[in-house]
Amino acid sequence: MLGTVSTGLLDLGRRVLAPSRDMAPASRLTLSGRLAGGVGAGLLAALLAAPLPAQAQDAKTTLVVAAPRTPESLDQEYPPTEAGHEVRRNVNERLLGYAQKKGEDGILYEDFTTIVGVLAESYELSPDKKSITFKLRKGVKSYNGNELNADTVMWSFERGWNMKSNFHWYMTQIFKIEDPKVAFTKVDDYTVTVAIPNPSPLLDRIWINSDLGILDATEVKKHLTPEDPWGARWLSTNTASFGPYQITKYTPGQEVVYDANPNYWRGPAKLKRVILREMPTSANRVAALQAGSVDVAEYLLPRELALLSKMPGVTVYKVFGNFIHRVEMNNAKPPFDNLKVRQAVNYLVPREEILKSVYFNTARFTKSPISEIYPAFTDEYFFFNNDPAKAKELLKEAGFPDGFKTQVAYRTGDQIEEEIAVILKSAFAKGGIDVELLKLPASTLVERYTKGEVPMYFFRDMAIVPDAAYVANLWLNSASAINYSKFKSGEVDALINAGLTSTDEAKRLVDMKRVQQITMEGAPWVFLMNPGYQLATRANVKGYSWYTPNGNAFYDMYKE
Amino acid sequence: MRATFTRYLSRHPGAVIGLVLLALQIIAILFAPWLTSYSPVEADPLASLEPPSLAHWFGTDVSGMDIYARVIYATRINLLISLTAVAVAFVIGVPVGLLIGFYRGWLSSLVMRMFDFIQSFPIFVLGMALVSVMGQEIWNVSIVLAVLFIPMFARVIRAEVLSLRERPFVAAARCSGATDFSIMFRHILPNALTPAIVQISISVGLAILLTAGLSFVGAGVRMPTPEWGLMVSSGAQQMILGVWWVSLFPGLAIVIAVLSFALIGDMAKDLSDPTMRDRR
Repeated sequence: MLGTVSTGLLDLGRRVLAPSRDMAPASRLTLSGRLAGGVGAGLLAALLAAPLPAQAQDAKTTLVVAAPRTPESLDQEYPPTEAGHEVRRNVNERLLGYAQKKGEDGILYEDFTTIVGVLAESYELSPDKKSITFKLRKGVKSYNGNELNADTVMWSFERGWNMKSNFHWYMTQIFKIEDPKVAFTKVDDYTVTVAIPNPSPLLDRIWINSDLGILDATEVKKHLTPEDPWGARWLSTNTASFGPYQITKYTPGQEVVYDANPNYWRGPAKLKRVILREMPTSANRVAALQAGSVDVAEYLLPRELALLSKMPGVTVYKVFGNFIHRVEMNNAKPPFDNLKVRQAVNYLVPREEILKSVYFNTARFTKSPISEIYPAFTDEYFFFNNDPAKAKELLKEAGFPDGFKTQVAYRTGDQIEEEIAVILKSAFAKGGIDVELLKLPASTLVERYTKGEVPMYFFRDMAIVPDAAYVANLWLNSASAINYSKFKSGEVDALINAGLTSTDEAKRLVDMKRVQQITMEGAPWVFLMNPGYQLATRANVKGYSWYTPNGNAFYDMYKE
Repeated sequence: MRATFTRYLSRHPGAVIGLVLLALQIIAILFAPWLTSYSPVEADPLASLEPPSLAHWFGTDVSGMDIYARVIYATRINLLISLTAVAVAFVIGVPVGLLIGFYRGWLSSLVMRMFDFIQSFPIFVLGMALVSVMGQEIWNVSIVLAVLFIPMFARVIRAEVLSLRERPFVAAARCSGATDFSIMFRHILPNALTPAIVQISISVGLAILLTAGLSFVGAGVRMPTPEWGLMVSSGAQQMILGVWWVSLFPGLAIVIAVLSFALIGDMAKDLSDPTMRDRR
């Protein structure tokens, strides 16, 4: 903006100084007066113009992002959300990561077949896959200048275990660890070992998750109190880790400012500052991007992306992604405790119409509970077409020849969910199912489906570990805390539990296909769409990369 | 009486416009199924966001629902909510105003302080809060609006009663042995009713705006109920994409409805005001 103002003044200076023909008759100034005025204006313009190169530099190294919401908390132990994942990806450095490879579309993707060291320079798996030893990089420093060592890692583990949230879930649910004193060992100042009771095929790749970042223990410890021994309060609004950025300003509901970590072990980020602004209405994010007042607009509607992709000066990135958007049914309560009812509602869904009118053909049908990009995915068990006659037949067999009344809940402000909900209401009416649409604030919706109080609700989620057993364990294992649909199959539970401990990859593959078959036949959800992930940026923003948590990795991005 | 009314209409085109607009709404309410062949709530995803055409006079919304059909059917919902709310407020507010104006004691003061309390909140904010607590149903919106309007009617009547109760005709009725009930309802109420009747049309207009406003911010009725404010809200997202028709037509319907009741309110006020007799 200042650049525009000073350019205008420079122009004014030029016009005043120039013996312009169209100015001369109108002007009553003498030559000396004009010269004096011109010199004055020129000086002023020169003064204002002087900082231009610096401003241009700032503009190139500052990225402004329009997001639907600011993160609920900055603590990696807070339940995962899309906004929270983005913070973790940019702030909390992990022990391991995937190598990157460039896709045909020029976007950087994770290569799930190659694991590389991040904070761990190298790692070693025991032959029985019951322990992993991390050799830490030396000289790695946090934003605050504190050095990484085994004590830092051990404290991060200790905190995670005692917070009894995300870290604890991974360690107990995936690795079945019972005693942290046995599991986590400091070997020397730069070596740490994690030992688990059973073999796990995920023993290395779990540490890629950004939920398991290593904290700057020295910094966090400065803020501990007897009432808050693990810094939960401080870390909910502050960050301290070894990642490429530190959050220096956090105003929930308004703005988050990321400043680059000058000590980052891979070298400081090209973007020195990232400002994330909350703009809940997607139309406002579109307008801001169009006007150039933001560089990046996250989570836009397919309709808006279609418009922007035709617009000069804007780039729309579309990746396959791993999101699954579905309507979950409470499988534990009538009428959805009846398999035939669940199958019937799946036969009533007009997927083609939803794909065309809501997603503008940018999504794919959900044909499995496993994302298409993950190993073991198969779509061979998907059999639900739009067949109201078949649905009615199933409802009749289930004892609901005249249908029934139910509710579908969706999030306030989620335009896509509202559009699909309206379509589903009309579609379900063809089977005699009278649906009441409940529009609820996100927190209320989560609270109500967690307690099993809503019969049907929209659910969009992704599993960030590219492993079928891990994904199935999240959503389909009856013991999982986030199996909100309360789907229960003894065979599925057994196959998942075996898959989490077996290192026989061929058998795991067969088992996970069977899990997909049982799930599709059991129809625990109304299978809808895999919407992919899309991002709109100004054309000068480059380096977009995609990771399984979907949020942006600002370290990879830069401005031309 | 009829001659006075006809003369008034001939001199006040605004009143004629108000009556014509009201007539259009009544036609929409009574003959909605015959005015459109489309369902107001049935989605047709493949006809999403079609601009106005011969098939869809006002175009379609994101779910492919016909906007003309929804605007027509929404007249029923919006006027049903508004008229019910005002009717309930009138039926309760008028007797309450009469009683607290006639009997001046601690109970009267207490009721007035309750009304002060209700009216001290911004009406829209209080409406949002009450609907959120009671649930987003058509009847709940109506009840909430009625609760908000009761003090308005009661105050209008009370002010009139306070003035009328000291008049000689009231004293005469009392001397002739009339009971309090008889004085209130036979002698005072007929003379105090005019401002309350004028208040009806003002309140209906306000109720239409409040209903639409509540739905616009997501605190009114639920999708896919055809309701003007909800339709404007769902179209607002599309404006940036150049899709103007989703919000425009329900917006115009709100304007027409509110304008008609405002003009009719003016007419009712003029016709009931003795000082305006020469200008009728």
